[in-house]
Parts: sequence; structure tokens; C-alpha cells
Amino acid sequence: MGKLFAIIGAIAYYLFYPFLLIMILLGPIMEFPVLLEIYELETPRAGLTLSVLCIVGILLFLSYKYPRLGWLYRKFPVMIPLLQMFFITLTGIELGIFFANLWADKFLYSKGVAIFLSIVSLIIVRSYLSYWYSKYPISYKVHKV
Amino acid sequence: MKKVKKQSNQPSTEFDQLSSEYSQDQAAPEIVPHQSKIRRSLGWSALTIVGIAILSGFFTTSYSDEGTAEEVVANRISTATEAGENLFTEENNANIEARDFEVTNAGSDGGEARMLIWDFNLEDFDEVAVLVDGVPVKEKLILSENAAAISIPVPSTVTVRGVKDVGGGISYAVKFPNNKSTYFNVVTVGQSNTYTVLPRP
Repeated sequence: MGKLFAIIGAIAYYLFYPFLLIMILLGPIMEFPVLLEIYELETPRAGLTLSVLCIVGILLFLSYKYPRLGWLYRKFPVMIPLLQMFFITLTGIELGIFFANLWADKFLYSKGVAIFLSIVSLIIVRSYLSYWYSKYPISYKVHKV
Repeated sequence: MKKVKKQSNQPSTEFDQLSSEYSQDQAAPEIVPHQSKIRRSLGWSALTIVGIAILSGFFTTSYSDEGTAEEVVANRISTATEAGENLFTEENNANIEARDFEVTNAGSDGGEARMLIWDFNLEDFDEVAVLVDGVPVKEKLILSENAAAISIPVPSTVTVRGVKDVGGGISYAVKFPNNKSTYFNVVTVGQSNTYTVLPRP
């Protein structure tokens, strides 16, 4: 019975998996212009939203945790660090969009503060990735000097 | 057949099967270096974003906070609607009539305010013209789901005139982020709605 549930779960997961991949791989490329557009046109724009990002993050984590859901990673091992990088970058961009929208739509603070918060969120995720991959390099061939 | 017989002889329960599968999952060899750390990093990132999303819920609002779409539009002024929100999926005027509004508390006297304008129901690309103190700022503004921003002086009189009706009337919403209010309105081709923008007292 447990196995049946696991198989049904895996089938349900794989039906959604292509959308998950599209969202994560194209997300940063598609969302960054949205962030720029908010500041250029001074109008709020809906991004992927943080709640969608939560679901994407949890589903991605499940595919890392259960080998049954990660056949693609066995075929293309590079996907493991790649998707993590893209997801964390997308998180930063979405956070930037969230702060930008609080200014553009609700005027909770000035434009300067909004730009500052957006840049800070991008810098935080970028430095986190730099720190992380300098500590745990993707390849053993990479040696720190 | 032989295999089935062998399996049935084993005193394994469902729980044992599950736990053995689980341990197999756990013991799976790493495909890339630091895979378990990447997994943990992603898990923490996902948890962090869940936390941030919960916190962001305190700052985000929607028209649904104030009631159904019909109620919100019928009340004409909303403080919870976000710019660009679609309240209806079909083109109708939600039984409202053209009206002029007085926008109070729109910004500091002598300063500038932003006005956002968008189509609050089915996006059918109706066109309007926007005039500030009688001077055309936008001769042709195509209303869409994406709000357009217009910078206006405070105090001033903003006129929205209907230019092209694709069908079902020209319905639009105007939001002034400074006073966080959204005004739902309709206009016909050639007719105008006026918004008297007043400064903070």
C-alpha cells in the first residue's frame, strides 16, 4: 500500500516537474526584467510571488531528498548545483520585486529605500552563493589557492 | 513464480518494506560532490522563503479583504485593492455609473503624486486620454492589466476621457499610492471623468 502511494506520488510529481524546471531555469531571466520594469515605469508588477516560490522550493527539495524523484539528476548531475543556484538567485529577485512593489503599489517608503532594499536582497543571495561554492566547490578539480 | 514464493516466505511487514526503502534512499551514493550539503542548503532556503512569505502576508492586501468583487466595485473606493488586480473575468461595468471623484490626502502641497490606471475587468485594450489641468498628458492610453503610471502635480485636476471602446464599455480603476485608495469608474467615448487631486491638509 505504501509503495502504491509512493508510485502515485511520483507520477503526480513528474506531471508537475516540467513546469517546475521551466519556472526555476527561466525564472531569473524572466523575473529580472520585471524588477527593472517596476523602477523604470514606476508601476507595480506581479512577479512569480513569494508563495509560488515556497511551493517551488519545497518541491525542488523533495526531488533532492528522494532519489525516486531525481532520475534527471542521475542523467545530468550538473542539474543539482544548477537548480540550487537558480532557485536561490530567483529568491533574491523575487524578494527584490516584493520590496519594489511595496513602494510602487503601497508607497510604504520612498523609491530610494526600495531600490536599496532590492539591491541588498540581490547582493545577499549573490554573496551567499559565492561563499557557499567557495566553501563547497562543485568539482574536486577546483582547488582553492 | 519462484520469486513470489520466496517473497511470501519472508516475514516482512509493510513497515519493514517502507523502512528498508527509506534507508536505501538515505544511503544513495552522491552524484555530485557535497550533494547532501546542497540538499540541506536548498532545504534551508526553502524554509527561509516560507518564513518570508508568511511575513510578507502582513504587508500584502487584495480586494477580497473588503468583500466580493461586486461589493468592492459598487463601493467605488477601495483601500485594499492592489494596482493591476482583475476583479472580473468578463467585460462588464459591474453596474456602476460614471462619476467624478475628489482625491484627498494625495501628497504634499506643491509636490508630485503618482497615479496608476488599469483595466479592472477583462483586458480588452480600451483606450482613454488623460489630461492634467486641461493639458493632455496621454492622448492615447491603452488600458491593460498592467497598470500605467502618470506623474501628476498636487493639487491638480485629472481628466480621464474615453477614446475607444472595444466593447462592453470602458471600465477602469485609478489608484493613488500616496493615499492608498483605488477608485473604480466607467467612461464612454467622448465623455470625461474628473479627479480633483487635493494635497495633505
